[in-house]
Formats: sequence, C-alpha cells, structure tokens
Amino acid sequence: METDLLLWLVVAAALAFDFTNGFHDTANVVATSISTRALRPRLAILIAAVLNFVGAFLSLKVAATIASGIVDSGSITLQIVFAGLVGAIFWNMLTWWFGLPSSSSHALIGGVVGAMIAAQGFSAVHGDGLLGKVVVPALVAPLLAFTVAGISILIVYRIVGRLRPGPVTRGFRLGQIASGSLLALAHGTNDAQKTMGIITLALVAHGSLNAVDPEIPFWVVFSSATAIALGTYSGGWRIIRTMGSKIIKMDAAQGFAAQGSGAAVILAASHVGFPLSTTHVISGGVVGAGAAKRLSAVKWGVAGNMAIAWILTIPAAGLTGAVAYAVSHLVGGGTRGPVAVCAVIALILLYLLRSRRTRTPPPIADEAAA
Amino acid sequence: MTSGEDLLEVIVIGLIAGVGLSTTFALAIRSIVEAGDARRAGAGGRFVQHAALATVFVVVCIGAVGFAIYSMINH
Repeated sequence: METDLLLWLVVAAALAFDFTNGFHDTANVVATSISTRALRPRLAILIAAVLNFVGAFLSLKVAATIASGIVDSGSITLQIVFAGLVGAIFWNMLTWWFGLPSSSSHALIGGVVGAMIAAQGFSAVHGDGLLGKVVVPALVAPLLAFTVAGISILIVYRIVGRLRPGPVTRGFRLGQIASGSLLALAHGTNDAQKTMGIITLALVAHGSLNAVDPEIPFWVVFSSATAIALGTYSGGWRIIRTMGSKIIKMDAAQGFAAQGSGAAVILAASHVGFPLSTTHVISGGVVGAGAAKRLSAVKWGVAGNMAIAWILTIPAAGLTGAVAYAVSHLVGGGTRGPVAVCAVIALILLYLLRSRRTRTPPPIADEAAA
Repeated sequence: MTSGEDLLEVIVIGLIAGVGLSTTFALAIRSIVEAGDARRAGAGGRFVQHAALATVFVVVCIGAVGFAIYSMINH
C-alpha cells in the first residue's frame, strides 16, 4: 500500500514536470511565429500543443533511465527520482516567473544529480558524463545556432533583398509555420519520452513491470503526451514575450532564419546522436539572426540574463533536489517524505498562482494585434 | 558520445543543414516571386525557367522536412 502511494507520487510528479516542460518550452516553438505574425498567438500554441501530443506517439524508444551516464544508475531510488523532479519543477517555475528560457532537460538532470549527491555523496556522480552530456552540449548549442542563424540571415538577405517585401514576408511566414511545426513534433517526440522513461522506471522499481525489456503501458504514453500538450497549450507567455520580442525585434526572414536554422541544427544533431537543448538552440538562433543584421539590434542585457540562467540551471535545480531529498529523508523517508515535500510544493504553487497577474490577453498577443 | 569527432560532425552537419535549408527556402521564394513577375510581364520563357527552379527548391525543402520526420521516427 505504501509503495503504491510512493509510485503514484512519482507518477504525479513526473506528469507535473512534463506539464511544466510543455509550457516552459512553448516559446521555443511559437515565439518567433507570433512575433512576426506568421500565426495568431492562440492558433500558434494550439498547433504546437497538438503536434507535441502527436510527437509523443511517434517514437517509444524509452530507455527507462534518467541522467544515464551522469549518475550511478544502480543507486537511483524512487525517492531520489522524486526529489530530482521537484528540483526540476522548481527551476522551471522560477525561470518561467522571470520570463527566462532555460533547458528543462538540464533542470531534470540537475535535480537528479543534486538529490543523488544528498543521498549517496559525490562519488555517485560521473563528472565526465556531466561534462560530456551537459556542459559541452550547453556550450555548443547556442554558439552553433548563433553562427548558423547569423550566416543564414546574411545569405537570405542577399538572395531576397531586392524583391518586393510583400510576397517575401508571406513566404517566410509560411516557412515559419512549417519549421515551427517540425520543432513542435520533435519536442513532443523527445521530451515526452523523458517522462515516459521516469514513469517506466518507477513501475519497474515498484515491480509492476518486468525489469528486462519493459513494455510501456498505453496509459503511460497517453498521459505523458496529454501532460506535455496541455502544458504547451497553457502557453508560457512570459517566456514567449522574452524570446519573441525582448531579445530582438525580428522580421519574418529573421524569424525563419532563427527557427529554420534551429530546427535543422536540432534534428541534425539528434540524427548524429548528440541531442542539443531546444531552448539553447532557438535562443542562440534568435540572437544570431539579430546580431548578424546589426549588433546593436540585440538587447544584450536580456541575452546575458538568459546565459546566467543557463549557467545556474544545474546548480539551482541540484540544490533544490538535494533540499527536497534532505527534507524527505528528515521526515522519515519512504512515502512520508515525498508526501511532506508535495504539501510544501502545493502551498508554493498556490501562492504563485494567486499572486500572478491576469494572463489574458497576453502582452505579445496585444503587440501582434497592434 | 562527446568525442571530438562527434562534436565536429555535429558542427559540420548542423552548419550544412541549417544554412542549406535557409538558403534553399530563400531561393524558392525568390524563384516563386520572379516567376510571378515574369508571368505578369508575359515573359513565357523566363516564367518557365523560374517556375522550374522554384519547383526544384520547394521539392528539396519538402524532402528535408520529410527526412527530418523520418529521422525523428526512426531515431
């Protein structure tokens, strides 16, 4: 009975993380399309939500491991996974509150690493794995996207610069719809699998699934797809505003260069087996498309805040994961610990939601309509 | 996973795919716009030339999207 409750707590936390992952990353897919008026805001997030849902069903190659190669997978317990999820959800909420795009995957890895350190010590963390799977890609992603989008927009301007602006703008807006849809599909495929992996891991640990080649139940796939789609549909407007209009004021060609290049880089890297953070790539692409046109067009203060958020993601999510594990352990571990942590989270969420200003109409929707 | 070779491969493929997609799409738009202009001007030869180029560039872009979806499903 007690292990059943712990299992459902982990499942609930995983779905909550999936939801925050969806609304946190909506901006990656829709911000440039909304900003250049390729799509109306509500329609953009509806398309993104539907494609995230569909994407979750496209591939079910769930490894049933999280932070694989970064922490000692044999030492992971459900309490550690739960505390890691708490750390990731906390960081996603905090960065959303400040309108800062940051990687949900890194937040999850940070949370699990922090909880693992609190539980087993530093020896359970593989430093080389952390460097190779998190630090290097985090450096490569924005720089590569910056360069690709920068070169792309220079070439694009050279090709279409002397044409009538009307049909060119309409063409790039169409391209943005296609590239945004591709990104949404890729996001659903990659990110919903993380949640499926966590739930599968929990079911294996509970004994509900066979540890050798576990077959993922349909409800796991469906609930993960639904959570990420609902999260996407709820729209992280603060982050959408940052990515869509606070970094640069972009035209349709820049929007396409940022998003199209970003989609190509993400999918190319994924094809090679070197997955990059969607957030880092699209943010780098937006800055690159702006800087290539004119350096002063980029609000470097906003870009700097984003970079700081990226640097802080692993330590902050890790610290929260460690605190969540410590609290859980202090209360008595087992199921009681996660229940106590859940109560604290519920209170914090309630406070945040009540103090949140009216969300509709969202600011970027006003700007797009103006 | 993160050997220098893999990293270089990601950078090269990312650059080619990203810049290639944007360039091809921009060329498609240019060809479509110029084909439209040629049709309005009654220049049949130029229209056919730009329309053929536009078709090629659009097909390449659609092929890239199709490959991306295939890659996503089979990755």
